[in-house]
Amino acid sequence: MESLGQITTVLTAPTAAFLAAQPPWENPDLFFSQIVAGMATGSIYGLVALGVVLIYRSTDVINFAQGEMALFVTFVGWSLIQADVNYWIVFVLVLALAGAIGALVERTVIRPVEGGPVLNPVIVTLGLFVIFNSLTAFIWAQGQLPKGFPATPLGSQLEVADLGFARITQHQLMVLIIAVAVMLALYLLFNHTKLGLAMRATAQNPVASRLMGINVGQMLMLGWVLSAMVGAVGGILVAPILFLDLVTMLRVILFAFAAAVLGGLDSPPGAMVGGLIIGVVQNVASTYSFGPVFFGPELSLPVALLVLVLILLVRPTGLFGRRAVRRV
Amino acid sequence: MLKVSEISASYGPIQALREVSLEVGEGQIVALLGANGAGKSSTLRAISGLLRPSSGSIEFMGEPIHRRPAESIVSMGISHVPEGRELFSELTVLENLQLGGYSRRRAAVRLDIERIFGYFPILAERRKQPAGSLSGGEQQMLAIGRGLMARPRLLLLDEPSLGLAPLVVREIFRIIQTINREENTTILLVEQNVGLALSIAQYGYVLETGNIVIEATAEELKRDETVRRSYLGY
Repeated sequence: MESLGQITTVLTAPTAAFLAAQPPWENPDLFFSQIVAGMATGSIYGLVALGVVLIYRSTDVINFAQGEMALFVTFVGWSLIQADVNYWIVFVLVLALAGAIGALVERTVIRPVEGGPVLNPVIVTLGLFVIFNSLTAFIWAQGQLPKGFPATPLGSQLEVADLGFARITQHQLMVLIIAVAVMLALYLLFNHTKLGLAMRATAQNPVASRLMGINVGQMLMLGWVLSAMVGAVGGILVAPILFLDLVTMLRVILFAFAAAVLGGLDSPPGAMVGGLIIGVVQNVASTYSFGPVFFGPELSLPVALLVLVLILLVRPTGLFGRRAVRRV
Repeated sequence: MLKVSEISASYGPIQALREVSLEVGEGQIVALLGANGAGKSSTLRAISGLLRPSSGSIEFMGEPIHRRPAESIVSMGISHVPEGRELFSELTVLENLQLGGYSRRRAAVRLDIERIFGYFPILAERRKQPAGSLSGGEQQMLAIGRGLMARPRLLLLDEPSLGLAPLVVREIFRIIQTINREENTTILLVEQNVGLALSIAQYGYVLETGNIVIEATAEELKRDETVRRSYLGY
């Protein structure tokens, strides 16, 4: 009898949720709010994905530790905030630390395996994943987890920002603004400076770059520095939303990798667009029912990945990628 | 100007150069000839720093350069236009030229781009196009133009005629001669088209399996029995 009751509960729960979910046209305000909120989350995926892409396109290395490196420096930021250091000083210090770690990692463990068998850097970055996660656990998980992390002083996590057509939290608005600012800064660096041109040249043809007088080693290191810094921005922005935990960045990195692949793995704008698409799909899927199907928050990850698979079926190189064509 | 003394070099277990010696005088065009795999490209790679010789020495303007990394050699005045052009195919023509002048000041580079467009007007028309979209001849022009952007005193040219139509080849060789004469740029030319190379060079070396086997003036090489039979085919 008891088991029958359980089965009934299992069956009625999705149905109830389905009935509760309104179609989008009945509440356009909610619909647009969900879209914009999805873009905010998506821009965080995009930032972390951007970090992955910056490294991949210059060295063909996928940095699986991207999320955990960001997690580690964000925890350092948490400690600094506990010590009453000003938020923006913490922000700058965390970015600087991330950059230094990026440079150190590239010089010490990545450079020796570059140009070797494809699997070597994979194993190394998986090792880095474990190292940074364990180090974080060792230092901070002795106390209580998860830990709260403040939103930027410019936008609270609890107060609402009314955009007219949509209502999101002030922090979500700040996330969008900061993500756009980071993209813009990188765009200017890559497309309007001599250094950026040299970095793009190195990514395409390292041998010819050396013949131009470009110090290729320095450019590759700089790629890791930028990547780690962008990832750290993602970590700082997501921490107030997801709280700081040992699995915080795991919940981001899966979507970030999906975003990077969706965008084409070697395209920085692609990473950002991929992130936005996945963030929005995830949010919409967890809010609305599709015919008789209601996915709910629990199934939003598979739905986002389903969209990824469908797009890759049509465009195997991702939305903006070109790399695979050349490799055939 | 350039003095290569008894350099040997290898790729892993494969020896590419065996005690190769050659000299290039200021203002000359010197041809480096030989069959495929004889070590012509490896010699250029050793000079530009891409291939580190295991022994021997290379001096440029009296300074040893064989221990310097490639990225520091270009600013000394040696520019290498490599085999297969090695353009930045996804970057525009203009960006490729800017990168050619990477070792120099920005203002000087801007003026020089106009100079390159003077030699190769077609590149000016294509300035916004990705290098990969150019025809073979245009790509070779861009590769040479990019090499010239460094304002080299010595230009290393690797197979500029490879895969190009005869008319285009003639045009490119005409420009190479112009550069040599008007800018007093010294040229070390690797070329499989021996007749063509000897028509513009003053001096030549013939490489066989990593060794210099013959060296003589271009006139003598054209008359040489072995060279004629092996490379000129008459």
